[in-house]
Amino acid sequence: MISEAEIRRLAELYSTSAEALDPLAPDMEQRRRAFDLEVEGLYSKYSPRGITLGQFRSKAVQMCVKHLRRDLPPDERRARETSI
Amino acid sequence: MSTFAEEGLREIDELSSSSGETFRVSIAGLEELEQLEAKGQRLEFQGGEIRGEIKARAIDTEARMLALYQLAALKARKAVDTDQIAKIWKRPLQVYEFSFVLISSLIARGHGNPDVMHLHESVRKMRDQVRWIYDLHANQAS
Repeated sequence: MISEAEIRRLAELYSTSAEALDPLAPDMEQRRRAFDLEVEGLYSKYSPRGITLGQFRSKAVQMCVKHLRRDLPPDERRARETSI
Repeated sequence: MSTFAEEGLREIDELSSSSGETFRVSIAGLEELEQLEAKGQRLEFQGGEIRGEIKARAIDTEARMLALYQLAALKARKAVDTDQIAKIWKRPLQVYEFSFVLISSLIARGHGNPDVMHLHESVRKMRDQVRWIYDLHANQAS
């Protein structure tokens, strides 16, 4: 239901907030808020029946992680699956 | 989870454990130094030295807390599922929560050194960030 462009946008926001290396960046709170607002916006837009915002948020996060890892070469992906 | 992934998690857990103890000792040390500084206020030279030591320790503690965050963040970037990511952040979150409470208690007891206040704010920011990340990945809906 969510478009590829929307997933890409959400994954970008996820990358700059949940995967940030500098938690002390002055705009860190804004980055988190931007991700949260994007998720809430998509939830309002699609109003998935029988799915709570929390469940929708979880799925959105899963999609972001999948999106960000999908372009990895197969050998790199295998390496990440077995080593963190 | 694979053996390699388990080793990665163990590394984070061990670092969290040792860091937690280091932070506890560092924060207790900051309180002792502040008490010494308060007693030795009439000796400007000594007071100046102690203040410098407090600053150095506060900077060192912040750097160590940041290093723990960054190691966990790099591990999380390599993880391929949200369950792994939640597990990576679980122990560091406990460390930040615990450290924030310790420094808050220190300040509540009347210790208002600017470097301690700065450390308190930095730990709050790290705790908020890690709590948000953990909540985002924990309790994933099936």
